[in-house]
Amino acid sequence: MTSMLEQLHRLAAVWGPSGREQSILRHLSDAIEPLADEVRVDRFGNLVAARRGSGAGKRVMVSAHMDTIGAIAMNISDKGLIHLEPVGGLKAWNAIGQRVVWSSGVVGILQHEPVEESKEIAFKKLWCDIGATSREEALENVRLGDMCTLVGDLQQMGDFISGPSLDNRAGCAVLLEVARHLQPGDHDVCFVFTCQGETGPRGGGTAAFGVDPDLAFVVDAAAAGDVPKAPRVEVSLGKGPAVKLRDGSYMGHIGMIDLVRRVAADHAIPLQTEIATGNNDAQVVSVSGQGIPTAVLDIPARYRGTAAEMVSLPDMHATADLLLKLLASSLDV
Amino acid sequence: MLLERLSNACGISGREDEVRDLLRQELAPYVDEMWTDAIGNLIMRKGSGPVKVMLDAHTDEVGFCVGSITDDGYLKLKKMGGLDDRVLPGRQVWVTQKRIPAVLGAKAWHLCSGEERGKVISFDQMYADLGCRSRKEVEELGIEPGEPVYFATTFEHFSDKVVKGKAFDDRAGCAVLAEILMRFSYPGLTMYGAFVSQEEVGLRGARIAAYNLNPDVAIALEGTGSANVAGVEPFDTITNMGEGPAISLMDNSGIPNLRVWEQLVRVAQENGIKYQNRRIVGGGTDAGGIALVRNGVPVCTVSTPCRYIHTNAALLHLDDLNGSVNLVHHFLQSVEKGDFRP
Repeated sequence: MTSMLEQLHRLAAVWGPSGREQSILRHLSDAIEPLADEVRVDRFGNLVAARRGSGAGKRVMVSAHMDTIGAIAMNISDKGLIHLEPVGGLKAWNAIGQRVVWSSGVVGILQHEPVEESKEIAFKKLWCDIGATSREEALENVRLGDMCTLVGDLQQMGDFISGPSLDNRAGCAVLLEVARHLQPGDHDVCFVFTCQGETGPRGGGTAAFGVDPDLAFVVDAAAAGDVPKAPRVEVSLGKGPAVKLRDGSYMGHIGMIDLVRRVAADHAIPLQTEIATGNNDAQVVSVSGQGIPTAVLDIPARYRGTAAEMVSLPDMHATADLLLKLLASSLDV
Repeated sequence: MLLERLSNACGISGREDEVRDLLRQELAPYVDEMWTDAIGNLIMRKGSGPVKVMLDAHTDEVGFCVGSITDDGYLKLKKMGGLDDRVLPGRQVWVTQKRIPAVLGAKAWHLCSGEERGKVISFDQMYADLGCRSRKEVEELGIEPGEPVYFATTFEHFSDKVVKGKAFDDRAGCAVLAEILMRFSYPGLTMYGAFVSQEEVGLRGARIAAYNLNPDVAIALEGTGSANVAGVEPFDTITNMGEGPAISLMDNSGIPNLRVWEQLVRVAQENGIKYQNRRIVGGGTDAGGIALVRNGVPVCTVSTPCRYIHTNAALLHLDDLNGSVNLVHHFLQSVEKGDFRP
């Protein structure tokens, strides 16, 4: 059996920016297939793995987006340098000097024009150098429209772990952990790995339309507020998952939030509450079809959008524990 | 030509009836069935094969509507869609579908200080002048708030290949779609031609059409920006007019479905169809809306490059328009043959 930490190492190493989730989808599909009664890919490219219950329970969707941030080739100069636009929330200042891998497997580095002041840094002045000396040579390895992602190893630092793609491969690892330990029960549980969570978000809505659940849990990695100048969010690493009360795109379903709080308290699982900015998959999941009561369980994360994102392993375990207890409860909202 | 009639027809978002009427009349002999849905999408069906394909082009154009009438007989306008203040003052416009002429006025040059002359006049300082001298005179013309206002531009040929007109975004797409419906049949497909409403104000009609039609695959046909014009570096031209249809890479509304995108590129290469990529992520197209309908629709955008898009007068190269028809036709044949089964 693969531990969640080993699984996280594997998942974080699989290439898959928004709209190019085919490899990570195959990996996740192989991992969850032995744990599910039915696995399918929907028309948008979301992976849906269903575990049937006794029929006496509810239909629950548990989702995590599987895509990562990256960049897309929009232009190639005569010198063979690739000019890019961000895919998802990759900021130019987090990209400078970073190593990337393209869909073809070709490695490149991101570099930027010299600037006097940091506010002059912009994606327009950034390029990717893959060692090509002409436009033609570059085009042999990278087409316009191809994407690249930040790469690097995961480093463990005590309870914390750091590296690229933890948003949201940490969430994906939690879902696999839950699927592994989920006991037969009343509820039908659909584990969904969604596309394009970093752009839009988009895939969650189409997935929810197909699954048509009675209620949904979205697992994501969300900004913690425990470092200097971080977003003003009362969430720290190591204090357990955070249930989202609201963000810029979503108002928490009060019945779902109460349920999460009650189950966490009953089982002494640490839980934080979070009021955040930005958006998340629940924006499109909660308004899908006739509307779906949706709760967001966030794994607190530092330095999101960089090659050194950071999450806490105990927080990931607590998130998985909380989901298992929730799925074993009656889920009365 | 049909593009001429389409360009000269008027239809801001939500008021596309004139464009729909024209398309109904032109295309009735070529399709099996047509209907208009609740939001104002004109849908045509041709064929009843096993694979359902939706071709989308939006019928609305950027323009204005009357916001209010002033006591001294001017019109304050509201923008409908994205318009650049810099290109508006002095333009001739048509007010209401009766095409009552007016000009977008601004204070005369003589009255402006040197500083004012160098500045862009902001839209809230502009007004439409009908030559009326009181609110009563305006009202007697049958003009009231909400009525549409259009650029008063008549289509013309600059050369055999280059044409000028308003509303090429997206009458160019409408022309491509109409051409395909008129010229080709695909027994393996149920082809839906969706002439959709309200793209310019938020990709609205396309979502409704896609929801109702529930296609297996879709293509959004667009007129898109082209900036191979004076003063723009070759690297920054977005697309080049005259260099073929543009296949989108990614824009603010969405990422093309990879299978559809690769299939478009493949049929272009296999059939020697000159194409280019749209090298900017700004803007959005109906594909962004269509992609997210129900449990997702595989979709990509094919655009005809237009210089000076979203202004009173755009330029378009007819080879690009024909290239779009050719590319989409070959794509549809490949879908029919089963190369692409969604």
